Amino acid sequence: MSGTTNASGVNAVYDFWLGLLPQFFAQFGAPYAGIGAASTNPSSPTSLPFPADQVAKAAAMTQSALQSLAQAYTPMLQAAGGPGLLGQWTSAPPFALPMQQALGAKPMDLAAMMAPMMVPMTTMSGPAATIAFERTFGAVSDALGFGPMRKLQAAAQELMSASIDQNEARTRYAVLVQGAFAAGFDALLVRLAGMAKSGERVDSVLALLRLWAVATEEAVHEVLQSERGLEATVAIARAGLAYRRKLQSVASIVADTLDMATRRDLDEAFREIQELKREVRALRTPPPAEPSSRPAARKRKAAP
Amino acid sequence: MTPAERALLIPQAANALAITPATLARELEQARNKITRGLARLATVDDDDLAIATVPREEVWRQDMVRLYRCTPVVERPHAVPILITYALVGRFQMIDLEADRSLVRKLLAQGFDVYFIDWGLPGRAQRWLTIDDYVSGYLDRCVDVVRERSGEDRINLLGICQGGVFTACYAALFPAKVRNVAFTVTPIDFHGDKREPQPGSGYMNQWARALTPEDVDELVDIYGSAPGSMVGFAFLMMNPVSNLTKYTIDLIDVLDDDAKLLNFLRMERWIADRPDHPGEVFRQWFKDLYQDNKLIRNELVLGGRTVHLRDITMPVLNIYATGDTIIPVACSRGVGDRFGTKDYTEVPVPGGHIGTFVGGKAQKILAPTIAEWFKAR
Repeated sequence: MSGTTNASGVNAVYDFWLGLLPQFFAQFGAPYAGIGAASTNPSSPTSLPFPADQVAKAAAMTQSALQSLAQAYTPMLQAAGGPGLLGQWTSAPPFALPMQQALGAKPMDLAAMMAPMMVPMTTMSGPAATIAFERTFGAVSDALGFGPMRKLQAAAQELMSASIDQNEARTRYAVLVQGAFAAGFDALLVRLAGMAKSGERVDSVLALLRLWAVATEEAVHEVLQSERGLEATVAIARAGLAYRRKLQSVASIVADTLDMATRRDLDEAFREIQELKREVRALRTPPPAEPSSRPAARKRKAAP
Repeated sequence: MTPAERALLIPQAANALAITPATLARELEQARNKITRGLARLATVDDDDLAIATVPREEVWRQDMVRLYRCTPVVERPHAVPILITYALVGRFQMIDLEADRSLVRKLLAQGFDVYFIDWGLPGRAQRWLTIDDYVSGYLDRCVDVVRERSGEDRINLLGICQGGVFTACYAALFPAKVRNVAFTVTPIDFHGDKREPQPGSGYMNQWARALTPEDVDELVDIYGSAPGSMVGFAFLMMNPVSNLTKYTIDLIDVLDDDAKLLNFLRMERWIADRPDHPGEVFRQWFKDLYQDNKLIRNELVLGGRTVHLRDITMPVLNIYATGDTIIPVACSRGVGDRFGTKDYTEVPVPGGHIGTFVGGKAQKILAPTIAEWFKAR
């Protein structure tokens, strides 16, 4: 139906961005705890229709962050003026690492879910231990019908390995983005120095933040569109796919063991249905051999 | 820049700052007041306030998750040749009628047109095998036939938007006898155009798609089945990560204090967040055949066993592109007139970005009037 939305994805996007807001402000010197407290303010409207609910959360967090900024900046400006403020920004916590954590939130949770299954393997970690386990108990497991458990443990170990690879790819990406943010700040300094020379002045913190945003966005574009940026982005995609492939492998073993239909079984059924639909369509309307083929249309009097 | 260089630059940069404790307190107090008023307004927002795509319409055909709508004409005798609008799969059709005063559909209706549009719906797991041909030679062809039958016209006007423009181009090439005129808006025809004319901040999706190997694309489709809508939406948003943070923070402040802006913002956000899953096989073709191999402009794209030749598009063509489009780089849309078989080719730039073409203030004054006049003249 036209009014229906893709509910599963609708809030995911907002959750991601709102999760970054405390860290976003923290890089300008607003304490993280103060912003977090605002986001859980019981007076925040939570029963509003989407996206008013999410925007209200963002607004409340922003309000809280501005209060924190005022508290942090006022004594600093009194003591050290503009250099103190810019100095604060250079020493603030890096932003991209929280971004990396946010990027990894979902897969990390899945890895955590798998943790109980990993206990036997993690207690005797390493390939040598795996081989030893296999040599000692493999035949017994097979004899007792525990083959799937061995498969499952092996698959779970591969999953953990893929999870580590994924985190490494995320870290490389985050370091790249962090570099872009640093370059953005440098570009802001250059811009401000140029403005100072030409007598321009910035008398608003919000205007200063907007100047930072423009400079940083340009730097991020430059980095992400560079060869190494594209490589890092592709690497993160590949690592994510590899992780998901391993996860599916674990799920597939479980499904096979319990005689449940797997995703592939369903896909095959859907494929057959789609092929049948195509055949029906071909029977109903064969592709036109000539551009002039057309069904007889019902003529009516039309307005000019 | 080294830390030492940065340390030297900071005092120079600080000379541009005229922020004092007093100005800071005043500014942030004003901002907090605006947010407080905005929060109070947000607390009263209801679903009716956020309704999008409310143009009166009737469903005239449906198959699977696809719906064909006819908008209720606003003139007694609309123009004889109807317009069928085809939107992209990566977003929902509501963009063409986001708000009553920012609505391509309503403007075309006001110009006396009989307007139909396709809602591709929300493809699920079962739709993962749908190909571009299933959309073009299947759903779109059925929709065209329904509109032809209802209007009594052998050939109708097609208006394709973005990915829907590519589907429309394929359709016009494969079924030219059913198309009177075709208009493309923000439509990529040359998927490698950005290589010729690279622009910073533009065409990130093109570059990323080419950085993948064909095997990567296969793996993605095999693993996910369909590309999750949230993943597609996330990919778009990560093109401008900083802007997406400021829009929920410092840029939000001024929006909150203006009722019209606030509602516009909320409706747009509602649309942005609603990303359908993208059928896997379409995704595979889109990335491999188009982004990677640029087969459309090379006349090598094969749909359902038939090759799409742009030369077969012999009817008049209107091609509208956005001068600030970063999603579909200008070079991917502009200057492709010689590839079509028509002698009646018109190219029109509109100011603004990809989505701004349909909702931006300046673009609104150009887009619908241009389309309307062009169709009327043909």
